[in-house]
Amino acid sequence: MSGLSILFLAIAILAEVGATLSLRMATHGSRLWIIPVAIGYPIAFAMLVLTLAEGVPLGVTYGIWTAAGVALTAVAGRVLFKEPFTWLMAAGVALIIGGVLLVETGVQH
Amino acid sequence: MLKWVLLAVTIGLEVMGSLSLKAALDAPGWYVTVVIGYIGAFALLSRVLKLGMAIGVAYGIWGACGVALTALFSALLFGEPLTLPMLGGIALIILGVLTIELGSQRAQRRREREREADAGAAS
Repeated sequence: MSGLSILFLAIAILAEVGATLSLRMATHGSRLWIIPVAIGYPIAFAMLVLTLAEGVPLGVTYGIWTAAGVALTAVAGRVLFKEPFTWLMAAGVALIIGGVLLVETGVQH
Repeated sequence: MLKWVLLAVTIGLEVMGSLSLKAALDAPGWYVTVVIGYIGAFALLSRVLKLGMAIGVAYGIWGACGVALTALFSALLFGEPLTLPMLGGIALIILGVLTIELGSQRAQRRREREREADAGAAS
């Protein structure tokens, strides 16, 4: 993966996590949180399209995006909303990191 | 039973949306199925949750199946490479998503039980 495609994918992941966390804020508190939701998801999709346009396979892009989104949302939920984060969940995060690294090396061969 | 059928349809719609995202790079007309796929998937997912499926289970299965099917179909349809390390990595990603979602659900349930026990002790 080129540096540019990694940057696009990273922004796609952060935009998606930001929008998902804002969605939780919108359902629990101020309705104004719907604004970052409405901005975040389109940015995420635009960045996914740019990542694909850089030539990264869809299977790789989608897998890394989904998994990183799930892992980051779990960690951020712990930090921001005091949601439970157990050793089992930490093991899941470790599995995802290992899987992403493996996919990444597999693409380059 | 209905909720499992709906979850399967949700996954199908979402995979269709993702595959269309790649097809849309060459033919922008595919953005129509991208939009239909993703909006339909989210609408159906909320139905599945209303039918009483736990969010951790629904998200875990949705994410895991979505990753596997998208990789499989993009190899079949677009001739994307699918090397052995990639297959292993995708398997780890799927296992990780399921572990986090099911682990989070278990932790939430335990917390609720503790809260009920506290409330019972206080009254």
